[in-house]
Amino acid sequence: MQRTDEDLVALATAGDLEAFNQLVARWERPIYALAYRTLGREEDARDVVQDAFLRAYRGLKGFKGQAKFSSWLYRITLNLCRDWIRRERRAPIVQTPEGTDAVDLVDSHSDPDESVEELVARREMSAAVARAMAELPEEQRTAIMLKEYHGLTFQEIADTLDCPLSTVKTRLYQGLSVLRRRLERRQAEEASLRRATWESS
Amino acid sequence: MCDERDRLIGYVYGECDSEEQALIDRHLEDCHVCRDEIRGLRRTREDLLAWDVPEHRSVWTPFVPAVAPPPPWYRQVPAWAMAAAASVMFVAGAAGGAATHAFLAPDPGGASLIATGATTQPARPTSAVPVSLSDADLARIVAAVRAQVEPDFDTRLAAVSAQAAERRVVPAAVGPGADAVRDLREAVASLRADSNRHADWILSLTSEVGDVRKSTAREFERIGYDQSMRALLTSSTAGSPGGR
Repeated sequence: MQRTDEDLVALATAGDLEAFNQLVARWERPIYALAYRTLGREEDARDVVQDAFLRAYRGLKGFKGQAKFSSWLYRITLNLCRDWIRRERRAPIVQTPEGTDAVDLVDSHSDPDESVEELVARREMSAAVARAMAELPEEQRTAIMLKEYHGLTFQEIADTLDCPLSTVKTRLYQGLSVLRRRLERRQAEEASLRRATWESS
Repeated sequence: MCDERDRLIGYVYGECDSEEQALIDRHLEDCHVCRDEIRGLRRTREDLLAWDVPEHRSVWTPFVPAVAPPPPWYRQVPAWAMAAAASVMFVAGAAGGAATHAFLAPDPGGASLIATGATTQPARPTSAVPVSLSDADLARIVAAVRAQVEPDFDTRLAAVSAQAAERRVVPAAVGPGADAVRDLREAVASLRADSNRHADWILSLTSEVGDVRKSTAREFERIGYDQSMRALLTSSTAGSPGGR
């Protein structure tokens, strides 16, 4: 039977290093995704992930289980990302999607059910979402990431961000509304561009 | 409801209670603006799924549990062997004591033994160690025990020092560095405990030997052995190599 996070935390607190390794293996990918989406650059995300787990290890004795282990990890990671952005004095970077040329696209085209056109459209959509998210205020962006990509409940987000439940709902609603407008505008622009291309040809 | 659009967010994410849900359902039947709002928010959520995160290799170097140092030689001896050795020592001591008692028992012929000193030679109790144990013998025993214990102690102390120099441990570090500090602390604590045990052992051995000597002296007094006989035995065994 797989051990719960709480079991592994208890073992790791008692000095079982292997238990902590298991916690890292379980949570590294979500933590990396959160750091990457917050900072926008792979090497920065890797540094933050490593730092986050080291801090978690050092702070295990102070973690009394008042929140879920994952919420505590998310909070550590977001604080590190905030420090990183403040130190670098910059906004999140939006990386251009990989494979913008045909050779790269063919190389990275691993799903046989997806056409190259679909792959291009997916990559472009990914970049458009990243750009739209990067323009949101940090509080709205963080709330949306924790909800959409990590599946936290409103209450868990409130615990992680240390703010009232109503604030979480407001941030989500306002952020989603802004994203909706930007993404719909982009889709409208693409549609008109396609129509113009089709008419000229 | 149209004035409090952020109430719709719980509905969009399926996190409102049944009462709120029923209220919003009823409102949506009549309000096409809110219906469009909910449809638009759901579509946006689907668009958000397009945001990929690139594959990456793990950035974590797993912690490696410290390897415990091998136990000292005397901990590798099985308990049954220790018990057997203790039994042999006890039986040998008892046999020696019995032989001494038998040899030194008062009998009418005691005087004749003194008179014919040369005839005592075949029956001389060389195995009765307590009788012949002098301060020099005791010092030799203690030296032998120390020689057996201390080289091991020194070797392990040297190994711990070398380990500390090699790892260049920073005490405030975490992870493998902290493990190394803990290993070294444990090793030093173990050495200190072993050293204390060795010292206790030597002290108790010395005390036991002293007790045997005292009981032998008491036995002499009890049986009223002639002082000249004791002098004879002491002088005849002092030069013997079997005195250790």
